[in-house]
Amino acid sequence: MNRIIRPFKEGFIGLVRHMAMSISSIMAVMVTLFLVSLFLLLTVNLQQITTSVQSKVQIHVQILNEVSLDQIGELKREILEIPGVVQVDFSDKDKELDRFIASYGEEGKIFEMYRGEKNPLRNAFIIDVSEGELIDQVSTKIRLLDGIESVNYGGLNALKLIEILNSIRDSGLILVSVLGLLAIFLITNTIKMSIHSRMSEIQIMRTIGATNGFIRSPFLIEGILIGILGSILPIIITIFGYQYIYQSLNGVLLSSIFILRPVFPFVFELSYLIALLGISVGLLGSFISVSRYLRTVR
Amino acid sequence: MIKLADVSKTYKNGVNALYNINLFIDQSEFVYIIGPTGSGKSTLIRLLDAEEKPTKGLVEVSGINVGQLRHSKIPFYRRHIGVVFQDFKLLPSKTVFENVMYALEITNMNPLLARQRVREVLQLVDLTEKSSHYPNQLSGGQQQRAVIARAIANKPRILIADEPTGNLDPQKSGEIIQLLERINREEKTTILMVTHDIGIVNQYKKRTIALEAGHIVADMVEGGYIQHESNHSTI
Repeated sequence: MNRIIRPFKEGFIGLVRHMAMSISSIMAVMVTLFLVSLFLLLTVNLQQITTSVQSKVQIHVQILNEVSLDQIGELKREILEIPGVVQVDFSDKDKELDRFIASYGEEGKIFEMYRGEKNPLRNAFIIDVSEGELIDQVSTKIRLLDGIESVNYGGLNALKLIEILNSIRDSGLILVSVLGLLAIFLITNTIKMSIHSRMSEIQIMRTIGATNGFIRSPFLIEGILIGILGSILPIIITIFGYQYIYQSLNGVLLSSIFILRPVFPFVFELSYLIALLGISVGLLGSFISVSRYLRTVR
Repeated sequence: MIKLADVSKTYKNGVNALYNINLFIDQSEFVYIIGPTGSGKSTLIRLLDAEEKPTKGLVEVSGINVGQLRHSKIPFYRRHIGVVFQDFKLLPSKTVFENVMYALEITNMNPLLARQRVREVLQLVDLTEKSSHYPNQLSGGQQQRAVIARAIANKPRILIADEPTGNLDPQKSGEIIQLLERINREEKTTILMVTHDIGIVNQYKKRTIALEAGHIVADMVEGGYIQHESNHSTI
């Protein structure tokens, strides 16, 4: 019983009695975790936007007028077999005209005159693809099928946008990883310094006859406490800050196709991650530094 | 109890600290170790405390080959020997009570019994009123006594005291010696006391081992000391 409680008690006492050192360690944890949180928010949202853009890119396939309804059914089956194709919707000439008119808004009404026999549009398929990156590939395969007049997918621009978003997201991920490593390094260093100032303390403990485990355990608790205390403020800022940003932007970035990640449960997942990062870094920092000093003294 | 056979110590930087030391100290003896600075007294303590390994020879305490102790076993060995350090080595962020308590906590002693023992030894060294003070709030003599309390709390078989009267006035020094004598008598603790203080050695006569330049130059069972000027004449 005493063995389990003691490290916690001693850890708390150590934290309080070395107040200045504890505060500087907590600050270091706080600042880095805040930065990590910021970049995670950005990266995750970019990811979200990329997928939402990708899901909106559809392939529009126009079918030759000669193709009969039976053959259209056959074509649909063939397209569905192409890997990556999720859904194939048939849209006849009439529906195509509706879409065309709608895309011109109010002024589109004049095109109503083309409804019926005079409709110059073609029957079409509207195809959803599982991943944006597959669009090009799927289009090429469809183009090779019989009875296809043309294949369109919002053109090169859509692909370019997806490409750009993907590369921004990837560089964001790299940045987060680099930042994460930097955070671990910075925090470990700060904790190392705070423990360095207590090197003589560690040596004395060993001289008196304390085992390594006995010496180490309160320091580990102290590291965990520093991690927890250092992650509180970043977590609060993340939860309320993101909520505020999300609400003031109405959940979208610039245009309605760029949908932001909903606040809940996203901020909680993020908070969990931040706390975990803080605790593990605190623990690791303490463990490494204490163990190093224990090895140098006999 | 303590046996040194043919012990030599050369530090990594090439300094020779001890040459072929042969020494035997029996259980419950009280021994002074004297000698000028650099004579090897501190090295002798470090060897006994397992802080240093002998370059050559055997250091044996209570049947344990101290030089061969593994890093992980050293703490358990140290619980059987109390050391009163010249520089005290009190934990600065712990009170006097906690400092003494620490020496018992490491042995996983029952906390109730441990607290009782701490009070006991603090009373023995007359520090009961200072028990909640931090080391930096104590005078040199008080810190000295706190270290003694910590060293004896665990009832060690051997107590090594490095200049325990080094920064005390003669009256306080006498009190410390009397305290050590009492521990020696009542607890049957073997005591090794390193000192510069000729006055004490002459006043409280005990077996005295004189070190000089890494050699034992005298081992006087009857004790006492005569200042030697140019030669090594001692009685």
